[in-house]
Amino acid sequence: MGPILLGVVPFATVAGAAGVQNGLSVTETICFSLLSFSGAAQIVSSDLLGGGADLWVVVVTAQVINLRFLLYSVALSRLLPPRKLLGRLGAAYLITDHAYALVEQRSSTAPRQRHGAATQWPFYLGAALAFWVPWQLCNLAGALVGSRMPTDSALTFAVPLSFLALLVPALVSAPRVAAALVAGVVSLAALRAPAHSSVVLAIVLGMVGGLLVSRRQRSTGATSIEGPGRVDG
Amino acid sequence: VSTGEVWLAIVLVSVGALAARAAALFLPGERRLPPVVVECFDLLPAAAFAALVVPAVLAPTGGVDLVSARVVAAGLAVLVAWRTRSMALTLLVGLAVVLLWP
Repeated sequence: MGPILLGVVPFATVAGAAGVQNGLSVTETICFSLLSFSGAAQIVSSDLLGGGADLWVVVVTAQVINLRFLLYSVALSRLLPPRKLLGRLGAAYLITDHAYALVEQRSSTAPRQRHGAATQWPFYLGAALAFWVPWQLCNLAGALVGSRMPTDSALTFAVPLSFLALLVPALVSAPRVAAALVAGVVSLAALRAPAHSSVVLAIVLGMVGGLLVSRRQRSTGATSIEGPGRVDG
Repeated sequence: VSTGEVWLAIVLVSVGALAARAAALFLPGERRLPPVVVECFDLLPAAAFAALVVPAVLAPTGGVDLVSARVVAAGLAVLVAWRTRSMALTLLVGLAVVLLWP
């Protein structure tokens, strides 16, 4: 848990600061963090809103980034014993990359606990809340600090840097590298597309590029499937 | 940005986040995703973050600029992220370069 929480502090702070630096109020930023509990999507949305993107571009881009939760949701539903709807919704809200990673790790190292695992739920909720509380506090701190900073300072570069810190560790397979390369090139080539729609176009074409490389790999016999990409927040 | 648009974005993005997280509640039976969907999800973070990072580093003001404090900072940040996988160190090094750039 320790090193994980160490990563929460800077990312949540950047998320909070990104909100106010892009013209959101402190209240809006805090509500965004409480409601979405999704750092990457919150930062992207704030950044795009501040840059004058259309609402649909903001929502689609954030949703694309949040789709990985779907993967965790399906995986977790196999690891956690069933609960009532409300409990499941609460558990769903608390899904993060880290909470998923911890539960997954625990059930693979202690396979006997996988079924009838009465301890699996407390473990999950504990891990999730241990992440949620510092996340929200650092978000608040970031929003308060950010509201006292000039909006044109070099610190605005913290947003792309935080994405870079998420991107680099994800580049572990040829299809993913191809996806990143294609997306990067398209994002530059389509820079003049209206209202930041270049982001959506770049993501879609990047994924197509990645799929093509993985097809080619498979036809030449190499393995290409990796685990789901892990992203903070 | 107008306040109404901000709140609409907050609500829509948050509903979308919860929907993705609660998806397994609404999936029938086996709860296994088709391989091609899993593969797309696997590629998503790389494509999405690259699409966001590249213009912010190479074209922050709209025109492509290959020599700038941001490019040097991002280059060093990539090295740090690659070697340490630390969000804190990556931010620290990248911001230091931009702030100390002559």
